[in-house]
Amino acid sequence: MKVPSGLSARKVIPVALTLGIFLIVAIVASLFGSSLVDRITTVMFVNVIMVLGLQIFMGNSGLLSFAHVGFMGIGAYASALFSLPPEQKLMSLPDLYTPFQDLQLGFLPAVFAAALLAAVFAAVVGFPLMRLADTAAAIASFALLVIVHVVLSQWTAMTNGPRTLFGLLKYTDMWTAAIWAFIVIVVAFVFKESSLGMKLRASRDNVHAANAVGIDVVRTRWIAFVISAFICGMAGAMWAHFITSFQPGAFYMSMTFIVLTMLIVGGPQTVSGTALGVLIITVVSEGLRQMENALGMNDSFPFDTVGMTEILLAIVLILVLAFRPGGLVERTELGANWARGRQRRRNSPDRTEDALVGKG
Amino acid sequence: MSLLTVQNLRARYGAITALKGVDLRVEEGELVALVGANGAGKTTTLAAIAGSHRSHSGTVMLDGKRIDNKSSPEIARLGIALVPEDRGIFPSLTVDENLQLGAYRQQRKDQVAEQRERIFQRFPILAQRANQGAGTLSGGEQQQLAIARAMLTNPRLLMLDEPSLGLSPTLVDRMFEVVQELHAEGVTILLVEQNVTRALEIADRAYLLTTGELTAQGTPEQIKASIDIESAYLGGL
Amino acid sequence: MNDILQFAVNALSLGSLYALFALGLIMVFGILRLVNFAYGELIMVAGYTWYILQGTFIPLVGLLISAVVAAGLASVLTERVAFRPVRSNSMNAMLITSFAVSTLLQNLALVFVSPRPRAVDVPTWFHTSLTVGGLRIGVSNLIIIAISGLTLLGLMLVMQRTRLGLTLRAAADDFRMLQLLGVRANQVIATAFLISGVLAGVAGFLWIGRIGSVSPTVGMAPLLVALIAIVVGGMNSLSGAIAGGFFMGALTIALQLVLPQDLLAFRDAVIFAVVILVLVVRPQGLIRGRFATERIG
Repeated sequence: MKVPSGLSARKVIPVALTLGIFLIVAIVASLFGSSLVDRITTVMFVNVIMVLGLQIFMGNSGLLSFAHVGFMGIGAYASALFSLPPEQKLMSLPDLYTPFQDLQLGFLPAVFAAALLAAVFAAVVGFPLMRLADTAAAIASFALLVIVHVVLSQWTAMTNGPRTLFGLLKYTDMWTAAIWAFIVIVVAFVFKESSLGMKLRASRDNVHAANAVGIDVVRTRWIAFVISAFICGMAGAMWAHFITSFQPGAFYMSMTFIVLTMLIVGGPQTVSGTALGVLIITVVSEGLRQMENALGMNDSFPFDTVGMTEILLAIVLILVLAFRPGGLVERTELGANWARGRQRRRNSPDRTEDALVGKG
Repeated sequence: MSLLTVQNLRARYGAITALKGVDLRVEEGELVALVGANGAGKTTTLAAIAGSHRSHSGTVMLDGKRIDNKSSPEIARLGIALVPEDRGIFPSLTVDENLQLGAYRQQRKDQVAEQRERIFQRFPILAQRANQGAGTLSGGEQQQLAIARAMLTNPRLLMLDEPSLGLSPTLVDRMFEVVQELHAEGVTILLVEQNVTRALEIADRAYLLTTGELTAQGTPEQIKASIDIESAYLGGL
Repeated sequence: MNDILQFAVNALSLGSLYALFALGLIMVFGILRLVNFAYGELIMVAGYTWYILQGTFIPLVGLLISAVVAAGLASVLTERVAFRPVRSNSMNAMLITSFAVSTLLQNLALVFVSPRPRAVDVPTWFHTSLTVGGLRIGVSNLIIIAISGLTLLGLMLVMQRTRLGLTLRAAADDFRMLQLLGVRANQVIATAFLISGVLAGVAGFLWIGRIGSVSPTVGMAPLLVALIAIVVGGMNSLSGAIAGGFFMGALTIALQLVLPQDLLAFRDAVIFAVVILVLVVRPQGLIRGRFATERIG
């Protein structure tokens, strides 16, 4: 098997295409100049970071993880702890332990320290989990999400408990989120094509074969788990400094549902698909949300309208799982075929990629 | 018209091709042996006929009617019974319950009772162990239970996958006796065996499968001859 | 002495509810290897059926029966509409589908009833207590133990004495072989979902009677309990699930007595850490002995 090395058009075009799409979205959104569009776009870019963080682990390893929204929550709360000014802490977290009271980092250091914390947590608890597969892995990661949720909502001194934590400074704006999203898009592509990513994808397609050719599957999964937890922690920190006040409930079931929907609808095995999934679900759900609001104002509709969006998203998710389980962009990255078409015409067909990932 | 006709059967496991176009037929009342080395594709052939191996192509016909697009329960209902290599015993059920599942679709209780009597005569150990957990049976007893259960489905074609596998020499003898008896009673059998010599002793006709392809077919003597030639040139099966 | 008896009654009552929850979850898991995350919403369906039908001419027993029927139907419906089309795909697809179904049902309740909890009319006698030989026993506990006990007994009869039970047990052993004997997968799976829903209905009705109200997220706690119980019980048998349920009931009551209030808040975190530990270290479950060897699920 020849491992393609260096930059080929086949690899560069999807990256450029994905970045291009999101750059256009960012530019168009900033031209609108409406605060609503700005808010929606910023959250979308944070979601790109979050969902690609999850994709790095789930998409490449094939293991289902419910835990990552927990890492997002850790990132959010930790960054708040690192960035809140001491005088604000007296109000927001009155019972905070003394050593943390005077701690204050700038925005970026706080984000990175928080992401690092999420990664360290993932590294410690994650290692034994990487041996599990299928249902056991799913249950264990679900248990991890519950644990993080319980701790976030009960450790009142550090998190203000189940009540709202407020007073964060609004550092994240649309372009900050966008630039970090672009960086994460590149990171996700690079990871997928790296030797680590290749090994992980090999273990996804056939774990016994991967073991047989000497891949340390548990270690490979673990490294990906830690990297993806770092990125999800980062997403949480960015989100926290955009929303500025939140509760532990923000990082639980409904967030997990939205994040999984974006990943699955887009196509977890491709970076471009995952990113596109975030864009599509954002457009669909925000559109529905506007209709929800309009209906909610209209007295002729007899029911509460909050929740309509989730109902429709759940139906979409089930339909995708039934009829297109690989998502919209299943195996081949968006635009990779253009490169291949050209290559085909030039020389003999290069099917290396297909041979590697050819079977489900 | 043959009872079972298989044409150009192909099957794959992921990237690995297990069958590269197998043709075979089984006539009513025949005992046909399908022999070949480990990994030749014998088990896959049976699984594909029974509908439990899904990624296959080709034509499988029972009485001239295509069944290759049907699911395994539908194929079983048409009268093809498979005794798989691992016996497929339900270990947490009793011996008796295992047999009940064999007779699951039979309506007439008196017929079932009569058949059970005959089965218990043939396999007395099953009568003794009727209320025991099937998981506690020995390998040979499990094999007897699996065949008994398959017979209770009143199959038109009985497919046995390596019935002698893992049995002691005496039990192997007994197993081939049983197969012969069933054949004598008129049961149509497609027998897969690694124990080529023994299988050829009792078969009416045989097929030799080598890495997914049929390399010989005909009377047991013809198969024997071609195996001799093959082993002379290639160093045995 | 009285304290011990009191503890035993409480633990038995909660444990029998938890056992039913766990049984409903393992019923489907045993056959499809699917943890049905939408299981909690079947309990929610039972609760809303009660809420919607109360105040009509229907007596309490009728409400119980209606709730059980509704939960059973909801379960079969989710199988038919959502799980069946996804079944031939990966296990992850099934798990995420169940997550989506859960979200769907919760939000249906949110939109068409209310996001806020709704009170159900629990008869006053339910919360009174009897004094037997100096021991005060809550009527609610007695009723829960009685109905759960009868349900358990009924389930055992179905599983051990009927053709249906026989195929369900066989399917949990070796589904492929069962199909090779001509038993259709769809029927078996639909039956498993029906029984799962009925169990969720019975236990859910009692559970909601105990807490007095129903909300869209009411099924979350029972789902988590059932999940822990089946993991602790080894995820391979009905009896393991029952044992896991009673174990959880006893543990919950014991921790309430022993743990100080501020640590009690972290109870669920500790229990779920144990779940992870069990999955990693002892995938066959914590409870061994005659339960684990006798597989009947």
